[in-house]
Amino acid sequence: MAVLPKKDVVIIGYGAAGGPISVELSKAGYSVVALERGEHRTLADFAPKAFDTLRWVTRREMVPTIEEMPLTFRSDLNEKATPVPYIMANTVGGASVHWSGQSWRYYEEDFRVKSTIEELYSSEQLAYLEEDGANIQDWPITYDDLEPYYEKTEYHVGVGGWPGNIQGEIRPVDPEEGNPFEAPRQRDFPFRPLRDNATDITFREGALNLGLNPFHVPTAITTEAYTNPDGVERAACSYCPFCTSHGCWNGSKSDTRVSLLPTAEATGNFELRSNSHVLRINHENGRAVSVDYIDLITGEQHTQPGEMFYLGAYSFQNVRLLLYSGITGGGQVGKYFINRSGPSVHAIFDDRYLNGYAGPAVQRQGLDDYNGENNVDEKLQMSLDDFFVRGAFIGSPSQRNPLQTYGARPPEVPSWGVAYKEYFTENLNRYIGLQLLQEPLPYETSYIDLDPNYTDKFGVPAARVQRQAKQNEIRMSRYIYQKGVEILEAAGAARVWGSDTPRPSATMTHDLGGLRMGSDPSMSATNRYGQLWEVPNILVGGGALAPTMSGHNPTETIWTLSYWTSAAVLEGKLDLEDSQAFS
Amino acid sequence: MGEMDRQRRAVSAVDRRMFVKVSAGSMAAVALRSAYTMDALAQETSAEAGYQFFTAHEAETIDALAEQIWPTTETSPGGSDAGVVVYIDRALGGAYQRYQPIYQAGIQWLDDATNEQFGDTFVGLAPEQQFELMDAVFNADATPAASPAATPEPQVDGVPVAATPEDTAEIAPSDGKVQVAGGEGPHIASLKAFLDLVRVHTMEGLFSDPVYGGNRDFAGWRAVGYPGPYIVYGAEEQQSFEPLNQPLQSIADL
Ligand SMILES: Cc1cc2nc3c(=O)[nH]c(=O)nc-3n(C[C@H](O)[C@H](O)[C@H](O)COP(=O)(O)OP(=O)(O)OC[C@H]3O[C@@H](n4cnc5c(N)ncnc54)[C@H](O)[C@@H]3O)c2cc1C
Ligand code: SF4
Repeated sequence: MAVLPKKDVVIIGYGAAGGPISVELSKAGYSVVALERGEHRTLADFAPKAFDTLRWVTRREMVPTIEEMPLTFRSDLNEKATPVPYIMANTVGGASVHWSGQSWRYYEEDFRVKSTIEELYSSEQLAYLEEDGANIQDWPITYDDLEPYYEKTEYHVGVGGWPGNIQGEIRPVDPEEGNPFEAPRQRDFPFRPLRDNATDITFREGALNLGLNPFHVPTAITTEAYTNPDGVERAACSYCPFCTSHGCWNGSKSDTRVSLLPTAEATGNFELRSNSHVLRINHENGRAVSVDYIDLITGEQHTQPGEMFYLGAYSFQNVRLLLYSGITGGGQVGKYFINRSGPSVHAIFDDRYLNGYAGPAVQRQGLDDYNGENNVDEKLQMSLDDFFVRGAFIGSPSQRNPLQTYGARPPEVPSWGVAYKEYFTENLNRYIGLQLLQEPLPYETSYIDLDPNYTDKFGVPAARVQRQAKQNEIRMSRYIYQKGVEILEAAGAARVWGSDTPRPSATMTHDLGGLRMGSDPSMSATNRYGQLWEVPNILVGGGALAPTMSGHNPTETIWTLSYWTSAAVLEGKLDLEDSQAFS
Repeated sequence: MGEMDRQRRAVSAVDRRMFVKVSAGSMAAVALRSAYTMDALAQETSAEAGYQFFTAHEAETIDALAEQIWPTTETSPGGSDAGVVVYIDRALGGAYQRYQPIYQAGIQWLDDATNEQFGDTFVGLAPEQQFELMDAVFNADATPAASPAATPEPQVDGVPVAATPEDTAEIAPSDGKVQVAGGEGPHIASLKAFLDLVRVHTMEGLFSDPVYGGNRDFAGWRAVGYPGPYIVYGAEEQQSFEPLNQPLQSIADL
């Protein structure tokens, strides 16, 4: 086992979170190494010859096997957890390589959910949350703290959109396509989002018929040739439909590899080691000193010493690595895990073709009328049995090629035989399925720990996930299901179906919490900069930091938090010797 | 892992130089790497040598199942003419090797069941009898017995091999594994899980690119109105409410 030369910064996992900090600290002269267990795939790997849904979606070529990344799940704490598939890519750039690119700022109130609901609702209305063991805390930071870093993400990573709110002015540009509920931004997006397709136009019609406020979602896809402030050049999206769960052939879908890596490498201070699987973090006297990792090509094990360590290996792996390394944060590491489960709504149209295969998944209209507390008036009228807090974004995805869509059928159609064939051949291109992005709550009984029964091939215990859907999720699902049905009916759908019941699972691609930030070390794992209370030279990246979720996808916030933490390091706001001594 | 990754490492060193200028002109990088992809595909689909995995009887059985699952209709060919069995055979010989035991056992369970009910193997039955049997199995209210003792789990380093993504997601949503009924004869739940696996693989054989051996003459894509991979979509096509009627193409044509 070789001990390698010490680096100032060791980044563990080079996905979304690892990107910004690799740029910011290497630019500032720190020596930075990123250890990434995945391969170094480049544009050539995603070239049109690889427009192959079987490879990337069905067979999940970029996703590790269960032996490589074991994950187990149970809802009932008395049962044995069973192994479940991993779905996040392990590759240079992480899951940001095969993500969809739906890219949001969180709302102001997303950072203060506890205060918001306590202000709006009575203790009688909220009583069921305590019964269910909900543990909701405000973030120790605000939207205003992050606003400059959101802007940095949008300009450097590359996010396009219609502004909904510039410095308080609602829908300031023409056409008025922005999200009117958006938190105020100081500056417009660097470019516009994708265009509307037939599905979007249809969804929009339905929403407008109901008096709602549809908008085209912001997307981390360069819709025109774009050069970011560091000089990284990007090509315009071709609207090829091999986008979500595939890598982009053209470098148009923003990810850490195409947007940020070139800048980090150009500094000469950054080294990327792919195929490098980190096994454990070694620590002495309350400080991390090195990590042990395996070169997955040679099988050799190395020790990489460092001054500062950044956890960028995704929520499950970040928690697992800490626990396996004996860092428990006084029981806080792994707690308050949050992920989504929710209803589904599908429809077919008989008056039109939608040709949903002819565009990427993230080309979508959506609406936030039922997200967060935007529907507070309606909630105040609800009976105690129907009442819930928070809500969901509702949107209209595409990329409905047959290999990804063959399972979508109404309950009266069998899964095989003539009836199925007739249904599917007539309706593939008349079909739409909604995205219903519910905001679930953190609970005492939802957490990640080490599985006592399963290990990976190196003998490291699997991450075990425990997660439940409780009254809030069940009531919200019934409500959001109904809203989805109404929108599609208002759009003229001939047949609408779905499920109004949430089914919790281990991983939903939005897996947050587990290392939440807070102000009180007895109730959180890190301080406001993502610095572990227990080991001050370990900084946490990624969604694990989130005390609460949001009805929006998390990754723009993940990038933004990485900028936020980097700035705290550079401005001396945190002390690597003492997590309590921050300013 | 191994050789392929070594090559990848060498190639990524070359590609790194191209990073900063990522543009539509990245076709040079495409040419550089397409050799790898196409070799792998060519190997997987060299059909000339007959079946890679199936015996003749197994192939006939799967062919008949695929035809039941996606039958020939007046408007389009069925799973048999679409070459689904070739797709599944190539997959079992390659990427899906872990399913080989399930296929071998499953076909035996199926024949045991039809022998008991109709006195012949599955392929010996009339199509109506095949349908009847399959319909009964698919509609059976049966999930595999949950007793771990009854369901030996093949393990690699403590992780059940059977619980791969496809297994847990698609074979048997109830408990993640096909029941291997030790000495007790075919178990209806196991058979149901097996037929559902064949159903899923039939869909793959219909709707994956023809380079994988199925979707012959684009039979699957043509039936549902999908043209295959296109690199560019413009506003006019995307905003149309009519069928796009594009010529069919494969990644081999790109
Ligand atoms: C299909 C799909 C679609 C999505 N769409 C959206 C979307 O539209 N909008 C959105 O906001 N989010 C989306 N997401 C979620 C998004 O991808 C994640 O939020 C984001 O990538 C998480 O960032 P991260 O840095 O925490 O982890 P990742 O990006 O997953 O990166 C973690 C990296 O760490 C590496 N790693 C793990 N363990 C180790 C180890 N032991 N040693 C070394 N390296 C290790 C992994 O290989 C990986 O590369 C989507 C995800 C998927 C899968
Ligand atoms: S739709 Fe655009 S961003 Fe997505 S893969 Fe195709 S070219 Fe890339």
